[in-house]
Amino acid sequence: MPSRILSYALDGLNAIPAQVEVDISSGLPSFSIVGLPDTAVQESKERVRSAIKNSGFSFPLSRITVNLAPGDVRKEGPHYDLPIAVGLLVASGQIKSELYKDKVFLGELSLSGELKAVKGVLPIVRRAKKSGLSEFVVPKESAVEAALIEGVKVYGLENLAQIVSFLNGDMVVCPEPSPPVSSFSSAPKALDFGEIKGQEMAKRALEVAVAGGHHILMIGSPGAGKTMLARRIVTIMPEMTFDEMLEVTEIYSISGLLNETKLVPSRPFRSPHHSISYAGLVGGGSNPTPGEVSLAHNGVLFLDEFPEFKRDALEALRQPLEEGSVCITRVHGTVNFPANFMLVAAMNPCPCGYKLDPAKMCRCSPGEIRRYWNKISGPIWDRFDIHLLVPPLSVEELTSTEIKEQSATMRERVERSRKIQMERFQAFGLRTNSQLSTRLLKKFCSLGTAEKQFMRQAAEKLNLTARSYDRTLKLSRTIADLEGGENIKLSHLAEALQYRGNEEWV
Amino acid sequence: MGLASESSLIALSLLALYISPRNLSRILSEYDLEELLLKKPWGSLPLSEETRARLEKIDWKQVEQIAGWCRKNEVKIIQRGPSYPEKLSRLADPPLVLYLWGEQCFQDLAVAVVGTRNPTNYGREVTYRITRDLAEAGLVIVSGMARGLDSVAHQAALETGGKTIAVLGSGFQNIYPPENRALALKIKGSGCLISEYPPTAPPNQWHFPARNRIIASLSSGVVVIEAGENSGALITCDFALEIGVDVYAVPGSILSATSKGCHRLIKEGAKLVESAQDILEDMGLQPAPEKRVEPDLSPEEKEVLKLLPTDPTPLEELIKQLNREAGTILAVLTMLEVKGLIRSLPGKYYVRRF
Repeated sequence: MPSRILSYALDGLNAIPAQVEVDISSGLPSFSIVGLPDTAVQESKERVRSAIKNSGFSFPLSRITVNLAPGDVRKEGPHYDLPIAVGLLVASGQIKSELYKDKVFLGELSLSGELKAVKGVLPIVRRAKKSGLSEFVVPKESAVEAALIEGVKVYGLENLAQIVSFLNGDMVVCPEPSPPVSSFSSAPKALDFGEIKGQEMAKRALEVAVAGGHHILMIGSPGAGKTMLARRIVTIMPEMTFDEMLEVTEIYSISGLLNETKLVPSRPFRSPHHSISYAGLVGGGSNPTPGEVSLAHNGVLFLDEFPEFKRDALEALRQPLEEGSVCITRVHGTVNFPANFMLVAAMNPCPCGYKLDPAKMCRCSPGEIRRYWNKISGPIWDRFDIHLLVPPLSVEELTSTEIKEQSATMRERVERSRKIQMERFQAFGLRTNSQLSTRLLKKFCSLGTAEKQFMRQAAEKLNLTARSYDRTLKLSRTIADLEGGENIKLSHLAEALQYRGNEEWV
Repeated sequence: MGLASESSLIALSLLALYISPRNLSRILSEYDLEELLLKKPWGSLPLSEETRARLEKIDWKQVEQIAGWCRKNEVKIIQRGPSYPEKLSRLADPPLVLYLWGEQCFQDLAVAVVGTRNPTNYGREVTYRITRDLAEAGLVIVSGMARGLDSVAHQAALETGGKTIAVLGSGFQNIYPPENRALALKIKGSGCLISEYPPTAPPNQWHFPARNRIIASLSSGVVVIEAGENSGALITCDFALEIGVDVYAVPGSILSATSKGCHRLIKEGAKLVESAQDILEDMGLQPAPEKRVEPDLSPEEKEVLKLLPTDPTPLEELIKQLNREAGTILAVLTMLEVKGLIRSLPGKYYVRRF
C-alpha cells in the first residue's frame, strides 16, 4: 500500500493541496519522483536519503516511486523534503501510528536530518485552514509564522528524529502558541514629521495625500528634503489591521524576506533604485515572484529620480495603480499579487536639478529640460492627484529649533478622515477618495452655487484643464473630510488648487 | 521696383532666406524673377553647396503653396509702399517683405520690452509690472516672443487688454519656441505677429539678431529689463541707438549675472528706469489713472495681503511669518490669486499685484 502525506504547492500566493504518495515495490533499487517536479524537488532525493540514514532510520533498498499529485501542477521548492521523508518512513513501516493523517507537512531537510525554514508557510497555512485543515508540522523556525493564523495547531520540530517520535506517539509536542496581537502594533516609530523644519506645505500636502489615498509627485532640487519627507509618510498612515499585516507578511513570506519577528507589523516603505527592471518592479520570472509594487502592498512605494526609471517599467505601473493588484501571465498559468500601495515619486525640476532654485544657476538648455519631462507620459502624470513643488530650504529654516507638529497628531486626523470615507463608500466598494471615478465624482463632490462660480473663475484665471479640474474636486473632497465637513467649501477648493501641476515647471 | 504681385513677394522672401541682400539685388539687376527661378543661375554667386541645393528646390509650385496657405490663414503680405510701416524705413536694410498675422497697429506709439530668456523672479515681476503699466497707458508692446521675459511682456500686455506685436525669427508655420503656440494665437487676436521670413522658414540661429532690428525700429523706445553680458537684448539696443531710438534699462543686483548687460547700458548712458512712469514721462505721456478695484476680502485674506511684501516671497516664508496652518494659508493665497490681487511666480513665490 502506498502512503499518502498531505502537503501544499504554491503558485504565487495561491496554495494548492498536493498529496505526496510514496510507493515501495520490489525490483531493482531506484528512487524516482514524478508529478511535474522542478530541480529543487528532484534534488530532494539525495537530501531525503541522507537525512533518513543519518537520523538512524533505514532507507529501503527497493524500487521507490514518489508521486506528487495533482500531476498537472508544477511543484517547486525544497519544502517537499519533509513529506517525502515521512511518506517513505510510513511506507516502510518505520512510522507505525496513523497520527500523520490530516496533518500538513512542510519543510526542507539537511543531510543530517535537521529541518530548515522554508518560504511561503504563512500563505499555505492561511489557505489550508480555509479548506478545513488545522494541523501543521513545520520546521521550528517557521512555526511562529504559521502560528499567526488563529485556530490552527502548529507543531514546530527541529529534526526528522523528533518528527518520527512525535508521529509514533512516543513524544508529546505542544502546538506553538499564537503570538499576542498587541505585541505588534504601536511599535515606536524611529522617524517623525516633527523633526522636519520648514516644508510646511509639503507636510500638509502629504497629510492630504495619505488621508485620501492620493498618489503624489514631488518636484524639487537636490537636498530639498524629498526623500526625508517620503520616509516619514508611513508614520502618518493609519495602523494596519491584523488582516492587512497578514496580507503583507504573506508576500514577504513567499519572497523569503521575513526577519526574526516573522510578521511585518508596520506599513512597508519600499524605495527601489531607478535601475530596476520591469520584472523587478511589477513582479515576474518564469516562476513569478512578487515585485516591488507588491512588496509595497498596504504601504508606500517611493520612486526617487522618477524620470530615470525605464519607460516600460513606469508604464507597467498603470495596472497596479488602477486595480490594486498585478497579474502576471506565464505559459503555465496566471499569478495575481496584491499591489495596493501609495505611489510617491520624486524628481528634479531639470537634469542639473537647480531650475526653480533662486540661489543657484541652472545650466540646462530648454531642450534638455523638455526631454527630461517628456520621460513621464501623460497617463502616468495623470495618475498623480498631487503635484507638489518642494522648494529648497534656507539656512535659517534648517537651523530653527522650533518644535513642529508630530506625526501622531497628523495620523489622528488622517484616521478620522479615513473613517468618514469608509462609511461613505461602504455601498460602493471603494475605500478612499482617490478611487472616485468621474461618475461618482459628480455624486460625492457636488458644489454649491458660490463654489461653482469660484471654480469657473479659477479655471479661467489659472488655466485649468478638464483633468486637473477633476483632480481638484477629488482633493477638495479629501480636504473637507480632514476637516470633518459634509460639504465642499470654497476654502477646500482653494487649497486643492495649490496641489496642481504647473506648466511653468517644464 | 514697382508694386509686385503676392507670388513674387513670396519668391523674393524665399530667396532672401539664403542670399544676402546685396547679392540678391545684384542678381535681380541681371535677371528678372521669372527668369531667375527658371534658369537658377546660382553658379555665379558665392554660395555653399548646401545653400545651392536649397535654392534649387525653390520653384513656383512652392511659392503657390505658400500663397495658398497665407490666403487660408489670413496672413497679409506687405511690401514697401503705402501699407508698409514707415518706421521701418529708418533701417539701413529694411525687410523687403513683411508677413503679418493679425491686425496691424504700426501707427500707434510703441515700446519694445526685451530681456533674457532665463529670467529671475525679480526680472519676471519687474517685466510684468512695467509692461502692464505701459500697456494701460495705451502703448503698443513690441517684443520677440522668445522664452523668458519676452513671453512675460506679451502676456502682461494681453492681460491688460493692450495691443502687442510679436516679431518672430521664424515663419508662421514654425512658431518658436513651440510652447508659445497658444500665446501666438492670443497675440494674433489682440495685435499682430510679424516676420520677414516666409511661413515655411525654420527658426535659424541668425534670424534672431536680424529680427531684433525690426523690434527696435517699430518702437519709440526700448526697455531692457534683465540682460546678461551677451544677451540678444543688447543687439536690439545697438540697432535702437543706430536709428536714434531711446534705450531704457532697469537695474538689478550688482551680484546678478542677468543684470550685467543692463548695468553696462546704464553706464553707457541709457536711462535708468524704476517704473513705467519714468518711461512715460520721458516720452511726454501721462500714466493711465489707477483703476484698482477693491474686491470683498475676508479678514484672513486682508491679513495675508497686508503681510505680503512687494518683492517675490517664497511660500514657506509666508507660512512662517503668518504662523497659521499651511492649509489655511494655501487656500487664502489661491483666493487672492483668483481675485487678481496677487501673482504666483515659478518656485512657489508670491507677490502683490499692486
